[in-house]
Amino acid sequence: MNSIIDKRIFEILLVEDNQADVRLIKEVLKDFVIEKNITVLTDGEQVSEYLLRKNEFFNRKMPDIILLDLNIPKKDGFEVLKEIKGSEEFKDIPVIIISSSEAEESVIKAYKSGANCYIVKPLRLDEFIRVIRGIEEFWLNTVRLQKK
Amino acid sequence: MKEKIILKKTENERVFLEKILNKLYKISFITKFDERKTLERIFKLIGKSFNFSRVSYNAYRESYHECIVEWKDKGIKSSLNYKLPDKIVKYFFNKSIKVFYIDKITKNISRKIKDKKTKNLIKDFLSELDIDTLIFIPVNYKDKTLGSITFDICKSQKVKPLYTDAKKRILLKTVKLLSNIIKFYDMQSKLKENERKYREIFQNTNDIVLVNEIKKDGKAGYFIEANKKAIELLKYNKNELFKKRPQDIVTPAFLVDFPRIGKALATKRHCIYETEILDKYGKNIKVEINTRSFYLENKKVALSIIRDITKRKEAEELLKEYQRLHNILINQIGQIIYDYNVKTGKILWAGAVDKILGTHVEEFNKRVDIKKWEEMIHPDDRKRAVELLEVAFKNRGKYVAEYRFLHKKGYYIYVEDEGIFLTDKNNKVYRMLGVMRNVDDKVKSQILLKESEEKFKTFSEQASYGILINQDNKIKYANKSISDILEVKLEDLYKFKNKDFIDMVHPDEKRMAMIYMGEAAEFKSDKIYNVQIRIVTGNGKIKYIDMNFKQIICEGKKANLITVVDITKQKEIEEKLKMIIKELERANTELEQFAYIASHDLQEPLRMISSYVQLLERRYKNQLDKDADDFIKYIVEGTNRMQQLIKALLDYSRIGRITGGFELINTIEIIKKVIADISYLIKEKNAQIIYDNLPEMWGDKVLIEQVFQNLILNALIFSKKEEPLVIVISARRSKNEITFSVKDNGIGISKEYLDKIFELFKRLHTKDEYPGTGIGLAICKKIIELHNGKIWVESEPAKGSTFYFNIPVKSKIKGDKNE
Repeated sequence: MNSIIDKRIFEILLVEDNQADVRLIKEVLKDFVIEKNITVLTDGEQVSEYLLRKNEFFNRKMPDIILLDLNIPKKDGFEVLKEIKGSEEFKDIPVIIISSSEAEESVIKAYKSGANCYIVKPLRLDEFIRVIRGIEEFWLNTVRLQKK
Repeated sequence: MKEKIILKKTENERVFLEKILNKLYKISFITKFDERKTLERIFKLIGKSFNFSRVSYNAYRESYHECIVEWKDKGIKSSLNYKLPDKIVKYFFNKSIKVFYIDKITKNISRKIKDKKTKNLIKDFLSELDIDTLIFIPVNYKDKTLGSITFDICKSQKVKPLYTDAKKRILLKTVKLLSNIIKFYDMQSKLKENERKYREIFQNTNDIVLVNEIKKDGKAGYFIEANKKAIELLKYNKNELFKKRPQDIVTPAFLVDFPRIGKALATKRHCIYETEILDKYGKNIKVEINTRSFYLENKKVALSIIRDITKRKEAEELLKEYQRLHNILINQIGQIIYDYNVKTGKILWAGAVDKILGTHVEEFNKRVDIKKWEEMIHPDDRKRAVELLEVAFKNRGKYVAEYRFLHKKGYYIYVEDEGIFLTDKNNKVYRMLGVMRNVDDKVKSQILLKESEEKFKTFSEQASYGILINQDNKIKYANKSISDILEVKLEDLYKFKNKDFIDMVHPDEKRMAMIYMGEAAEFKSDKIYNVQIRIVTGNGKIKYIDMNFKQIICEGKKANLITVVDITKQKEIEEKLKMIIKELERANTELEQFAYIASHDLQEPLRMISSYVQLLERRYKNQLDKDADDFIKYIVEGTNRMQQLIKALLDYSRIGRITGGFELINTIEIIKKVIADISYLIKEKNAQIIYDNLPEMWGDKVLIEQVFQNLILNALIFSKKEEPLVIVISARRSKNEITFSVKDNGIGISKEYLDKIFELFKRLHTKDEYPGTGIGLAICKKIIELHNGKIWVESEPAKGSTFYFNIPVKSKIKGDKNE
């Protein structure tokens, strides 16, 4: 069924400085049935460069989805979010905030800045897996259809 | 009737003289009703018949003879009213010869009269009256000299008669005959003179003299006489007055006395009375009337001498007033007056003896002499009182003493004794007059006042706080403490003006001080005005003082009583306390911050541990041995539990950090929501929750919901396994607060833990027995305190617990933590 749907690789941009989280997310994504490519950026500056194809990102791909941690060095998640949503090229790419903060103000602020989804980093693994699966579903049902 | 008898040549002298005599008798008989006219006719007859120039009668008046009746020939000078000096009269009287031929006298004067003065007097007299020859015949009546009759021949007369002895005899007889007439005449003229005098008196007297008729029935008739004074005072003219009667001029009130006066006049013919009469214009005059009744020309009259006594009455009234005042002084004001006879030692007492000393004045007079007086003085005062008296006696001066004097009832009262010694002509003391006053109350109150003043003084001197009395910008009183507080010498302080006090105020507070002064000037007398201010003392130290201003009356004038307390230490402590509180608040905030950050940041690594352990479990369960599975299970459980704790801690630290604001909460709705949220648990425990009629309350909806949820959860957790759980939620509303209660029939709490269960992480049971983080009740406590309320629990182990919390009716957010 997967091959039938699309041979194209699902491009995921993960902005996360915590390697443990990066690994955890990658581990969970292993269970994805679809083929995917994960690009990991660890600070806000890199995101800016990535957007402008600077330096090593001159050949970067367009991500299908962006997973953004708010708590990142150099430029924080909100700034990055603003840049993404301010870019003609990237503004339509869904951005999913993955944050350890449950604070309402953060959530509201994120949505106001154009975030498509806000996910609190779950304390239990099975919950996390459920979230990631949700992303997969989302991609399969909406994003790829849009691309078409 | 012929006035001249002429000696006819045919008649002898004897016949002629007889004719004259005959005629004289006739005249004297006929005219005896008018002596003067008779005299004049006889003088004329004699004068004409004997050819005298002048015949005159000179009445004897003490020191001279005055011519009062005269006949003179035509062209002869009148001698009427001529006063013949006594000396001349005496000269004539001294002569034995009663008839003088003055021609001879004139000739003989210079020879016979040695006395030059008399000689001149006679010469003057003779030339004055132009006398050539004088016949002087004294008029005697029963050895009493009435006067003299002189027969003059003036120088101007051409025919000089001859005086034969027969003629002389006729003259003597004539004089003798005339002496009877003259005697009557004299009496009459004296009467007239008297009348004249009386009339003069009558007219000129200072009293009103009125004469009125008395009618036959005894009633008063019209006035018939009135003197000048009557006219003057009564203001009527004579004609008007004579149409009045006594009853017309007295005041109506006096009319009733008239019959009485009439009766008195009828019986005693005399009465004196006081009344008021009215003048023409109705003005009252106070008078004393002296009325006599007598007969005048066969008519009964009343003579009234009326004296204006207005002035006397005024004086009398004044005197009466003085007497009244005097009596008041003596009796009403309550003074004792005494008169001490130095010789006998007796004292005459008067005045308020009874009132002051309790003894009747008469009895006191009998008993108390100088010796007794001394005995009656209080033993402690006696010596001084007696000594003072001796000094006053010695100096013949004033005696003033205050001593305790024995009252009849046996106690002593304070009296003030003031007297003066009087001396006689020889400067010898014979008497002392004085006054004794009751000054008991005064002295006692003075003593009391002195005592209380002493007390106040000691008290204020000892007082730890400053006392200052300020009047009219002057210091009336300042105690030692204020000098210590202000660090200004007491004597310098007394020189202080308001300005100087302002100068002492700390520069930062000067402006405030000026405002205070303005307010203090207007503050109400019954209020105490309080000010706390910083000052710079005389030694340059900065102090905090607390001042109370109170308006008082000092010596009859408004003054400010200022009490000053040095609150520097108190202020320092307050400041320290404030700092500590601030520090504590800061520490608390930091702690909360720390708890928040810590729990937040702890979550991250824990999540990591938890996630990877779960990943391990997920991937390798049943692939490792049994121990590894168990170990992983324990790690997972441990991390789960730690996550719960950290989450609870985070919740706890968040209370107050974020609040949705206070609003009116529908309590029933909240409870319904809580029940819905945890319905699965309620079902599981098969619990019953009873509530109804809960009042609305003021608070943070989310937090209050949390409180109810925690309390219900608590009840669910600590329920008995063997008995269905019943939770009853109720509320009681008082004036200021609402008290909610959540009652269960659970396992209950031991007494010793009742206070501890609200502490953070306090758990009474193992998590295996009853699960929970031990933070729920701590959160409740924090939320209720945030609402200015109180939470507590009443419980009986094995029977159940009741949690109470109260919230003020209108609760406000505590502090300013609304971030």
